[in-house]
Amino acid sequence: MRILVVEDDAFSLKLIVSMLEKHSIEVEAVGSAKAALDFLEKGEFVDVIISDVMMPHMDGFAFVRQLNIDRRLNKIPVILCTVLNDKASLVKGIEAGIAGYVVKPVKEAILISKVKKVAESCSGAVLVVDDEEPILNLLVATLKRDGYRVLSAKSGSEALEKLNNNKVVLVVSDIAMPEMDGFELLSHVKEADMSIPVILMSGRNEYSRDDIVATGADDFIPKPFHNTEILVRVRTHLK
Amino acid sequence: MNYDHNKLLESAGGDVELVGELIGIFRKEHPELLDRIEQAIQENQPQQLHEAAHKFKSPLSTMGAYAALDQIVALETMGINEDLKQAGIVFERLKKHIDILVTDLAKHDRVSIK
Repeated sequence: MRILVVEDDAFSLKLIVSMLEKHSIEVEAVGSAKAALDFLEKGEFVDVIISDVMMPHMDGFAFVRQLNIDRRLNKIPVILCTVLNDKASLVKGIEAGIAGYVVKPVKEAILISKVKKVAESCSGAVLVVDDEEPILNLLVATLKRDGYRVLSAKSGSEALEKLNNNKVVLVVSDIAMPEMDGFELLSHVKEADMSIPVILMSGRNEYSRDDIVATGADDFIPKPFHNTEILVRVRTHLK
Repeated sequence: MNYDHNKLLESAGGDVELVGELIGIFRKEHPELLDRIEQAIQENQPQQLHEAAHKFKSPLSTMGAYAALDQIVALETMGINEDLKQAGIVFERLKKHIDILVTDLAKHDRVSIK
């Protein structure tokens, strides 16, 4: 797990970073919301952000609001870590779109439990499966640009391996693939976890959406597809 | 002692080395924070006083330095309420508590080194 800590107080920063590193969490630390945005805009991926509230120039609430209007960044959960222990601040945080709230002085057990809970509920990857590399690359790029964490596989067996070793929240798969086709992959995915939505894609005209949904898939996207259609379907199923 | 060493050690997960580092950070950073508070009072800037006082809260509460923390809370409240009439007096009290605290922390450092 990789966490970005945003904290302008060196004492608190040291303490929080030490607590996280003790639990083998990879930590990036910055001293302001502006530095955090610069870091994230470089394309750096983090699973969770822990941010102070009262910081000069841009406070934690404004920082969360800023993240939330950027579709590449609005899926990163933010935990506010602050001495502000009043209901109004908590409500302000919730309204800004936070995923968690930890009150200082920080207790290690509380921080770690909150981080794990938030990471567990918010993170997870979209797994895209297609044996045609140009299409696979296009799907990966489209979803990554929209801020998703993406895993890719060129075959059904590779997809199952990724599924076993990662938290996957959605699968987008081609149907016509050698060895294991999309239908067989669909049944393996649903066997492993019924709650993971599976979107099947195909360039063949023989399938209708109803036919595909009847097989147990959650959605169908005919090829050729437009990037926007992929994003709309993915967003719909991850709501 | 003007702080609770066991509380600080507990916050650091029992890591004595980390406690030493945290003390080092506080000893290095506190003069600038005090300067910011003093400047805010002199220039009658409530928002700046609020922000500067607030920055002391987390380290002081982590260390259990409650005497200094009480003064900080008072200064922060004055900043929020935009009423700095008593701020100078409270700031003098804060400086005394911080001086004692820093002396106690320095003693700890010397004990650690031995």
